[in-house]
Amino acid sequence: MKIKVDRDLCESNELCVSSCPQVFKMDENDELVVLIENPDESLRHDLIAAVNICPRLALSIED
Amino acid sequence: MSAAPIAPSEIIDPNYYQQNGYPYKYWDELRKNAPIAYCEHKNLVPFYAVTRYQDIIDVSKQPMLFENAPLLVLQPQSAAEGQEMRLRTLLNMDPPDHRTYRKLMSKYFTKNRLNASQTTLDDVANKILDKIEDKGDIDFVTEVSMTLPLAVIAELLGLPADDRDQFFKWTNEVIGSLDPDFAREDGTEGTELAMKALEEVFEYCTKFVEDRRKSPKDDLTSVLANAKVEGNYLEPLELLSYMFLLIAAGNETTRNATTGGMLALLEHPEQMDIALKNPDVLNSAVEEMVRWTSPVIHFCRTPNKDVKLHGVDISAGEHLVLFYPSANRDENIFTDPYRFDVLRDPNPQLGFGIGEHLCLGAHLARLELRAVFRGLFNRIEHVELKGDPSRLKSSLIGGIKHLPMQMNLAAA
Repeated sequence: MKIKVDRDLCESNELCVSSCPQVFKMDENDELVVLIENPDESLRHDLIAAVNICPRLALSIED
Repeated sequence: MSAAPIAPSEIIDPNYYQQNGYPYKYWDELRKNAPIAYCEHKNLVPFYAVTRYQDIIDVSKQPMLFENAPLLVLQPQSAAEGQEMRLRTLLNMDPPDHRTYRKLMSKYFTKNRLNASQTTLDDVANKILDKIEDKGDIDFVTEVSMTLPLAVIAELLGLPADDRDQFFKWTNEVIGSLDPDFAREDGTEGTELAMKALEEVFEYCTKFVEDRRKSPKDDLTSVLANAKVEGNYLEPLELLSYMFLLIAAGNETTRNATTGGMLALLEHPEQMDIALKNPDVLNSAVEEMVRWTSPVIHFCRTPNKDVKLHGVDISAGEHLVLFYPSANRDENIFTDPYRFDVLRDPNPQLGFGIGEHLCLGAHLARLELRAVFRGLFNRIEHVELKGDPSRLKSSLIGGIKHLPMQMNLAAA
């Protein structure tokens, strides 16, 4: 599974970071960083939560 | 002819909203039996009402297909010739333009950047409350809810604090132009009033744009005045529309969420009690106020291709109307949606919209609401409703014009 961020949409609302801190973090410039591009299947539940909570609908999962 | 079920026109009738508040019983029925329903009302263009939470998300997810530019809101004045031509804001742009113009401002509205101003906001809120501390009888709207958002947006744009009353008046005249309470003494009302007010806002803002091009300051007017798209300054119409959007959106909606939040607390004393005893509930209480009040009633989307939604054929160019307050009462998403619950969690409310056009100032609005209610929760000794709220004649914004109440506050 692969995590995709639509950079045209992401505005650093940080909600994905709360849902799945293993995969997302904010850098010092307030930009979203994806720490693991192909995360392990065990993180799927948290990643789906992150995708669903993004108020800009900027995240998606590709299998 | 479309085979869509018919929606009652109450859901878009400004008179209904003024007299009764939100038409929840009609939305409940539509969500249950007719999630895509056809509606006609007087001189408005016909439309399809979208009332379910998931459908609003699905439409919002596809900004390339469901456009904002063709029609933004259903108001008689917006249907009037000329009015839509006079504003070009983020609200009636679509990608890719929307993204280019939104980016000019979005970095000033991120959570991280705004969080730095929380202490300042708390100070402003406490000063507002100091003024009414010993007063007893107040109008909560004009003495509390309207004041903080106006102060904040004036400060962000670098406009004189003394002009705040004028911003309030202009915003009411444009957004509430249908409401007889906002007609001018010379009889100007309706579309003519909205146009006149816009003209005055533009003239006012032009002075500041010219000044900030000559000598930029550390404010958002300077950012906009000096911003360039493809090497050129923004066209005057775009620049002035942008400023008007920030002024109007920056005060009307937060004002109404604040007033509606207070009214909800007064109507649910057990919830008021929880909030007064546990200041920790502030954030979830504010989120619930946004869900409960949903100050923006609707925005339109227009597909540029023929689509089918819940079996209803919608042709390219026909209009959908997304009803956000209905989504925020969707029983498939919210447990016991008609319970006002300051502890509600999770609360994926759609009061700020979602996706491409998510409210740019969503986080600012949250911080403003938190500042006011943090102050109130800390200081309220006694509160009591002293009359009925007077509601705005509008099916775009769920406005409360006055909320008479008695309030006694402790010193800060």
